[in-house]
Amino acid sequence: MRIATKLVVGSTVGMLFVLTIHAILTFRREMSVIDADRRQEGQRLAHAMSLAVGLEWDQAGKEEALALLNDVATRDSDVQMRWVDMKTPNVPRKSERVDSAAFTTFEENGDSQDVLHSYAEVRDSAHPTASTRGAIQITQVLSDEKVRVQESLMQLAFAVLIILLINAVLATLLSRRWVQRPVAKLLVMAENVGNGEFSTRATLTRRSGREFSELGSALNIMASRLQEIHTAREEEYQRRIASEAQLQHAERLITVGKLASGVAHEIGTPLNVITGHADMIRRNQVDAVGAVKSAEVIGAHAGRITNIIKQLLRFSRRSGPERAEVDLAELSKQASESMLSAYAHKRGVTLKTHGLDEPHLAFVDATQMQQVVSNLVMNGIQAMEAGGTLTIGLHTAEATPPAGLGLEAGEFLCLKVADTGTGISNEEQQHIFEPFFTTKDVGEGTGLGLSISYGIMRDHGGWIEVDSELGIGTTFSMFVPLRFDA
Amino acid sequence: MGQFASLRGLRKLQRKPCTDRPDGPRHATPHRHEARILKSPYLLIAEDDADLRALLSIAFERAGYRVAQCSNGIELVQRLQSVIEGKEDAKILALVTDIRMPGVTGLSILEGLNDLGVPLPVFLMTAFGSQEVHAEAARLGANRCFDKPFDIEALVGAVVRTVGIH
Repeated sequence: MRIATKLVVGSTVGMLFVLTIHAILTFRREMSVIDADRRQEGQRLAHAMSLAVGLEWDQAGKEEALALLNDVATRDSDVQMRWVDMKTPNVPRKSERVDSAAFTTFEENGDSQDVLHSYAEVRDSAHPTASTRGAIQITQVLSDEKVRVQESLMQLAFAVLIILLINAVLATLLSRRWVQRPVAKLLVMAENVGNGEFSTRATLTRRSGREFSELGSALNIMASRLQEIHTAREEEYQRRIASEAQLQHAERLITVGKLASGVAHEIGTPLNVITGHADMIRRNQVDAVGAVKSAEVIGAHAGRITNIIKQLLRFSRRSGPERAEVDLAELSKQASESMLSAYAHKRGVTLKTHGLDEPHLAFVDATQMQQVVSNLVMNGIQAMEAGGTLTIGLHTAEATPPAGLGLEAGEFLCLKVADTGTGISNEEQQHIFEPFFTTKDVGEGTGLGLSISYGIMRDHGGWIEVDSELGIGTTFSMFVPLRFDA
Repeated sequence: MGQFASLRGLRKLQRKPCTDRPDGPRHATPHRHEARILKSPYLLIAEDDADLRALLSIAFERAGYRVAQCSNGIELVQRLQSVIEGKEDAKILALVTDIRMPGVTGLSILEGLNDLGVPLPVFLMTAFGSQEVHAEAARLGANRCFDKPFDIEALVGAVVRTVGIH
């Protein structure tokens, strides 16, 4: 229900209540005034008649006196007059009435014709103490007065109706002007602000009502504050986007730089060997046998460069996995044992395994998986220059993939390769899967191993995580999905 | 501060039992030049690639130098340490070292030598070295820093110009 309607209904009901009370009170007062007038009139008339009849009685006797009464009664048709003996049972006993010459009783007849009887005693004027001769009864009918009062009540009701109508119309018009219009303005503004148009302002003058104009200016202040905040946010957002783009560009440059310097470093030495041997041959510094040896060395280093280029190309044009059902436990066991027998004994590394004795089947590319496991084992061994323990564990686990990979949580085969080596700093962990990122010395790695492994795991619908603490060790966990839907 | 740090670095690296041959290369695999270099001045070459190392040795030997070789940074540190401590009679004429090697870099070796006040001519080799690397090499007083692939004769020439022919 609208406020305006509420106001109109409320004021109308209130007014109706007040006017009704007023009408009832007015009706009662009018009635009592009319009643009193009538009584007085009846009593006066009865008294006057009693005096006149008493005088006639004294002078001409009872017959003449009653004739006079009849005569007056027939002339005045508005009131009824008659002679009553005191013995008539209708007349109230003296003891029951006021000690007065004239008195009134009120008699209500059943047929709604209310009747008023007024009496006045007629006494012997020569002997006032003597008993009463009789009384004059004046009878008045009150129905006319009632009708008149009812009519005036009807008029009052009509007036009340008119007043209420005017009130309703006025209240409606005024509330439309004073409530609905400013509220509509404020509503439009609030909606605009809600839709992000912070520049809208509500124009409410004092004439719209103090509350509304105050509310309007409060809303305006709110909107301008919101606009300031919004503008600041927008600028901040733009700045951030710009700086992020810059950062991305810088990171790309850094990655390209790392890639370039990684490649450069890897091929610099073989190139030097090649040019050195070529120079030796060119300058005739070697005999025929030496030239053959030089050519062999040149060939070997050219092959080394070829390998690096191949690895780079493999990295950039990695083919998808050729899947087959593979026992990951057996595969991990073989890969890690062959890596360990090749490198670990030299470094005093011991191997511990968990869960590699029971088969764990997965639908994966065996060659690629071998590459990943070998890479992780190799990294572990290289991280423990002073020896240590390499722990390889395989188990099924409920896991939640890192955000941003587009993978869903579920059951995964998890292979953990943990070393007790030097550890990797948090900063280095951020970049560890980037191509050519390496903390190793020359000759130990190209910096491609982990990024290739990462790519292989992603191709398999899995991922690699790193968890490391400086001086304590590093754990790489690779996750392979248990189920594969082609 | 930097001086002590690099000294500590040198000592720490030396203590590490991580070389393949804990007794040192001389005893495990006696080099053919070993007998001579202990008595007469020689060039020390440190390079992790065996073929390049061999190539450099041949070139310097052809120029008339005696040569000793190190295959990684740790070996190099041990060798320098024993020379500095006077365990070797022979004088090292110059050090020709790769910058990036397993164990320790040529630049930190140079810094360590500076800190210890050893006046040894140092020739650095690096694969496509960045400006920063060259600037650092110059700052640390390297005689030359060669970018791989470089002309080996140019390196030999530079060494000859600095230390003369022995």
